[in-house]
Amino acid sequence: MASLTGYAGRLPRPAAGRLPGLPVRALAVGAAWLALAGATYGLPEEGDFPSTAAFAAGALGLGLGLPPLVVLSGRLGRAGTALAQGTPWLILLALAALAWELITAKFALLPMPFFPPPQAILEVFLDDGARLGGSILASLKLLAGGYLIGAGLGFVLGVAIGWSKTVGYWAHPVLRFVGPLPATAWLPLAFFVFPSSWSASTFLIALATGFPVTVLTWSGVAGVNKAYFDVARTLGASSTFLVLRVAIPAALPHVFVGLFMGLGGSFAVLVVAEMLGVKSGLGWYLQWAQGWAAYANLYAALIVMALMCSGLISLLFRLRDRVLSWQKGLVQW
Amino acid sequence: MVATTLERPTPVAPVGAAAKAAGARLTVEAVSHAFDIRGTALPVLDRVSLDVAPGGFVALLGPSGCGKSTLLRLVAGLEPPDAGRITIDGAQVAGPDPSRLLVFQDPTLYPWRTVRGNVMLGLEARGIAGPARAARAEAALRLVGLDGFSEVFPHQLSGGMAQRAALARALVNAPRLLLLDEPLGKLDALTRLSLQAEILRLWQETRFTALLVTHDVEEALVLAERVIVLSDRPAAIRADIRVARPYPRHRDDPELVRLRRSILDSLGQPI
Repeated sequence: MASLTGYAGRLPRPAAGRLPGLPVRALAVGAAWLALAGATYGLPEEGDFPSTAAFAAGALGLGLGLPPLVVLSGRLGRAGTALAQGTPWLILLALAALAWELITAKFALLPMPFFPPPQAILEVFLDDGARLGGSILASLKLLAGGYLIGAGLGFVLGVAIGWSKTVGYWAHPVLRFVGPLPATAWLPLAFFVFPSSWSASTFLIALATGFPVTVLTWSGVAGVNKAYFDVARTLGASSTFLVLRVAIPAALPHVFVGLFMGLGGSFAVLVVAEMLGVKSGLGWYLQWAQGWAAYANLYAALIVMALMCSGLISLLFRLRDRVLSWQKGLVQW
Repeated sequence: MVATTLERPTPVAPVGAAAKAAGARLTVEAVSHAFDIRGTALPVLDRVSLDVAPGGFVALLGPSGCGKSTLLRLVAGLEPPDAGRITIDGAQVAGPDPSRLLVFQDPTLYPWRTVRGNVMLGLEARGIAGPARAARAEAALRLVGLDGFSEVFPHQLSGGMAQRAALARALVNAPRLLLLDEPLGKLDALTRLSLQAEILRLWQETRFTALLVTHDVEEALVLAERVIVLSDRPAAIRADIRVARPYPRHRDDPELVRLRRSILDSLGQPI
């Protein structure tokens, strides 16, 4: 993620060096996916996988559909540019899937129940999609509640500590004593203090989010160039104006670092809380899949969880880029 | 470039407005001030007294670290003096006020606001309504030659342009006393010359009272009607020199050259 404050110079978005011409890439991507389709459908399998044909059909579809799209990518606007840039990755993806397919389903080189072939994971998405989808929603709901509460309270507390000496005097020792404790350490306590496992988990996620947001907001507010305040004061600004229009905007780059750290921490707590207490969500799904030795479901849930976390981080980056558009040299995510 | 008057655009202004908009009289009476550095008092100003006539341009000259900037902060009302009195038109300074504005050595523009947003800061802080605010900001930007830059963010400005924006941010409030704390100290020589001419023009057009802190003797002589030379810390007034030459002044003016020599002499510098 590189530097998050965005003070670093503008990093170029990693772009492929000199790529071979579009027709070559189109052929290569077609060949790779067709090879995957052929190997999946044609070679005999060690075991019985109901979704082999569906997986091969998907690969066939990509093998036939991608080459014309790549050739015509110049006329497809931004999606086309992304596709043209991404072809090497699409090729690699097909080759990796092919290797995985051969190692697992075709030649059974890895112990079977633990390392399911790609079609077994596809089968999870096809057959158990509803339950997975429900788990994502449950996770998102729990995470959003805890994260927003934690970020909101952390922000307000951070501004208060940074601004008011009195608040700082009382809050600082508490924060120093309690803050570094990992939120998960509160788990056993939280589950019997709070009326429901849902409220306990919300509390834990809020705690994991709130600490970094508080500390970074505080340091942001405390570190605002004093001359900014002098300027505003001579211009006739009230203290409300100093807080809302000077201290907070000046501290925002730090606040965002706190929000990023808090988001990372909240993911960890979310999964643990769902595994240990809450009876829904992706963490619970992982636990449940492991209990039933449904390893394909485990992999599917991991993939979904990675997409969810990465999506949320991207969303936060978008928000930051919008809010801090005045900064030069923002890091691209 | 057409210069626009800022605060007095229409003749329907209140009767007192024209008189009020002119420069303020500043009186500093036996002001002493010390910094508290870990319990020990470090005196920076020692019974400094001076009187600046309304609309006057006075330069404070002295070795670096002598307390010139502290005097400006006291006059701006950012800190109360330990002893002595500072009055504006007879009223004692009790705190910061938009009629007395400081322009710092660093432009200290808010990086998260556009140039226009920065210029509107004082109007916003005092609750002046939107449309009037934007119009006055644009007028101030025209006045300092930054029209067309209102949507730009400070990091896109050069040092000289940023300092012009800082001047506009002060002038849009029609200050009666402008406190200039080495405003050109960090600029390159050519930009400094053009901004000196700019400050002179703005002063002549709007007739605010100007108090300029500088350690550039030439700058003081080219701009000010009076040059006050301060001693080393704690600063006391060592010389008060009237520069009775018409504007625009030329650096090679024999009278200015003579004054420059005597000022450097009183500062104890070899010529």
